[in-house]
Amino acid sequence: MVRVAGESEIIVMIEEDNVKVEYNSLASPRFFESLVRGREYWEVPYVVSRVCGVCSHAHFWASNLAIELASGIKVDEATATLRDACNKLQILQNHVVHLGFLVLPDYEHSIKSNKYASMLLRINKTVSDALKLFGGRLTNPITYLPGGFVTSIKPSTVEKVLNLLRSIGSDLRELADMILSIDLPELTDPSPRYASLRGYPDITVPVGGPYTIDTDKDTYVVYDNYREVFSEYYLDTSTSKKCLMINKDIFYSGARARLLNYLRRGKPSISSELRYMILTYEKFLEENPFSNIYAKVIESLLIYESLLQSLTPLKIRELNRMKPGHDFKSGSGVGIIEAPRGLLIHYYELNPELRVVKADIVTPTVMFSKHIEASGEALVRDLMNSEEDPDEALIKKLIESLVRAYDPCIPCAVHVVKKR
Amino acid sequence: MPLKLAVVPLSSCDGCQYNLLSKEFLDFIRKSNIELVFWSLLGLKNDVETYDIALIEGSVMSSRDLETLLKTRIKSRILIAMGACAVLGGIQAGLNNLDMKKPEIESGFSKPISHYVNVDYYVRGCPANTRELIKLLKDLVSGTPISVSSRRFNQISRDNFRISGMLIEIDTSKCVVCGRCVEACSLIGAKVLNYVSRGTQTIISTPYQESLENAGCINCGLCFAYCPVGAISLKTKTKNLLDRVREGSLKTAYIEPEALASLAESENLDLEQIVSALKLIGFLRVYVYSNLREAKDATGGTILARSPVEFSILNKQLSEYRVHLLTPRIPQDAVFITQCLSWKNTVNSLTTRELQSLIRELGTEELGGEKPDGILDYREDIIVVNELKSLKQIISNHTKSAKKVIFEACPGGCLLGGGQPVSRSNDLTKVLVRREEALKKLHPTC
Repeated sequence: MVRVAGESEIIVMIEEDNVKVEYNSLASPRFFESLVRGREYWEVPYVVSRVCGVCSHAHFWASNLAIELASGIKVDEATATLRDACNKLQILQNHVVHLGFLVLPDYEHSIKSNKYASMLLRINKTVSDALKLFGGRLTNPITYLPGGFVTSIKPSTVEKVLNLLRSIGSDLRELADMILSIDLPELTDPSPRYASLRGYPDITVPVGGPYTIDTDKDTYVVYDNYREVFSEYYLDTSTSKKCLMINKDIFYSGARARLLNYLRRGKPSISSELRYMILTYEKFLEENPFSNIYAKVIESLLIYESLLQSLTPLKIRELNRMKPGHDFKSGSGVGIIEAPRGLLIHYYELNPELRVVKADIVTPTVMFSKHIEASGEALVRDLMNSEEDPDEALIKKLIESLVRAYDPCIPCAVHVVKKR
Repeated sequence: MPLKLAVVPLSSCDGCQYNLLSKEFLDFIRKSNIELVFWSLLGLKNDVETYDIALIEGSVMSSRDLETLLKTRIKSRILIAMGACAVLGGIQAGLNNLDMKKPEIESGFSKPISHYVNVDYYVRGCPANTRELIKLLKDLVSGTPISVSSRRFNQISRDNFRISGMLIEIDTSKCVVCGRCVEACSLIGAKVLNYVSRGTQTIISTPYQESLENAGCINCGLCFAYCPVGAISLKTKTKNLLDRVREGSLKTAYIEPEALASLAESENLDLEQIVSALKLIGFLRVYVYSNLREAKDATGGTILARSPVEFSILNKQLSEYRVHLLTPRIPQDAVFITQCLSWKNTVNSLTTRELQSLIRELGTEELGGEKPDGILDYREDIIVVNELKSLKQIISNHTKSAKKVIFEACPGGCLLGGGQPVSRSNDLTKVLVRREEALKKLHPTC
């Protein structure tokens, strides 16, 4: 597979009426869960943020959250808002890069103008600059640790970020118009089940568990029982795990799930224009797996609005209060956040010496990789039914763009595989 | 012919590649004579026979990685290791030393690529520094030899500000970040000042630029004494005090022997000359007085703090012991001339360093010699301890003896205290020896 973060392969096997699709990761495992074992609590975020260079802020925040909750620490709201802002900026940046660099070449024929390249680079640069101001760096942030920020984020910095964001508003809208004008291939979702954290990306900021996870039917209150809801299993052929929801249902998470849940269960405080846009595409979002591309661009606008809303009221007094200096204790904690690609779960157990004894990371790509296979099978089956002898190149092209629509991130998903 | 560039990932987080998707790098590629031929993240998989330059991201963790690396090496003219994984083995190299059950896969170890192939250039960092990479590629394209450029750093601009406390003020615009104050502050155990920010933006500051007292300053004055450029200055002015001396409301000077000795050492004066200088300033009587005299009435085995500095350190660090502060008992119309800055908050006092500048203003040529009006000192039955570490041990040895344990926190004792004058020599051990000699001259029992 090209134009996907990390190395992976998709195998389509057609035997008469039987269609089987396998999506396998080829990247070598890097054993992060073993790597953090025995390390002190403050080292963990620095190590695990290197799980993935694409969404390092998400891993950084989730691990910080988990370690704080293991010690029973809840940070103040300004700190939480800033961390959330880092994550939202990362989501925005990831979406723009994914849509611009990875997805658009699939639909090149439907895009006329060449001016979009410079626009994409402009958005990417602006959001990256904003992310650098809050996180210290674009990849592998350094500005905060369990307990609070270690660098003082000045009100002028927040103002700078807000100004940067305001400068790309029209660009984002233009990008949305362009992406929403693409004709996506038709496909009916074979397993329309999804899960996401409640209310994201609303202005309410998660400070700690237990977390409310909304699925299409039920709502689960999840803390250290997350294994009951999301069960992982191994495969021989792939270096990454696969994950199923409760009742062994194949599901997906990510922008599409977030948007659907946001509209149905959250308390939207967004502009009517955006609300209308989501409502227009709601049915399409639910039915077609390809529509994750639409979801991403709509969510970019949503996050843009939510960032402006949540950052504007940050007061000078609140920012000055952010100082680490908590008492860390032994215990176990779970950090669940919405990463760019979906739900991200970090779990750590600390011993009395404040060293990690157990670690567990469940990543979005693991969660939806089974859904990729199911949709792939449905896609191939549809093609077989419509034409007598479908062109191999066409199958290849369509299935690759399907995988790309999910935006899998292989470096995150790789785990140690037990050979059987 | 444009140079053919390939970006090849091995085991890594893809962060370095991801950082290359910036406007900076892609604009550079577009403008310069480079053609991207292989980069799977962008969907480029051109089948070319050779690459001119290959950027390798990630370390070798499996035979698959090794195969890719060897193939790329054969195909490419110049091989650049990009990022910490390729250069050093990356974060996953931490596994090599980890005592864990190795999983049954091809390989459980992470190795830098230079372990297997020859590497032409290294671009370090996690993630790799894009600007450095662009500089390297620019040089490769233009054919200039890779070397240190004539000017490596641009002009540095820093945010300057003032940090102030009750007695001391720090002006960062004068600071040269030598770090002597940081070392002194950590030596005495206050740890108020430290380095903040990185690289060229490094400054010395209290946490979040808080005022010194809020950050826990104990007013020992060591930072002030050690600063070579005068970035740390005293806020108190001697003018008011001197006016009162001239008016006649402050008549007597009580000068500590340590202060007298160090002043004699640094200005190359006799003790008598200093006494006459004090009389010239306006004092009617001059006594040599040490607050150790107040230790006379104390019971044996107690810890006595020489100044508020020691008092606050002991209260913080040895809170299980009872500590007495040796407050100088001097008349109300007297000025305490001392080596310690911290008395300024409680009594009328002048530091030795301030006195030094006053004497320099007077001029030392025509100073006569006068004996002090009296020596009020007490140096029997006391043990002076200089280190907090040995203090506990010494107290436990002397719980039942009549000896009194005096704690002097400044490194080198009161002879090198925070308010002491600047010496003519840089070698503090020599200074200390000379000052000890001067003190012995004054008081043979010391």
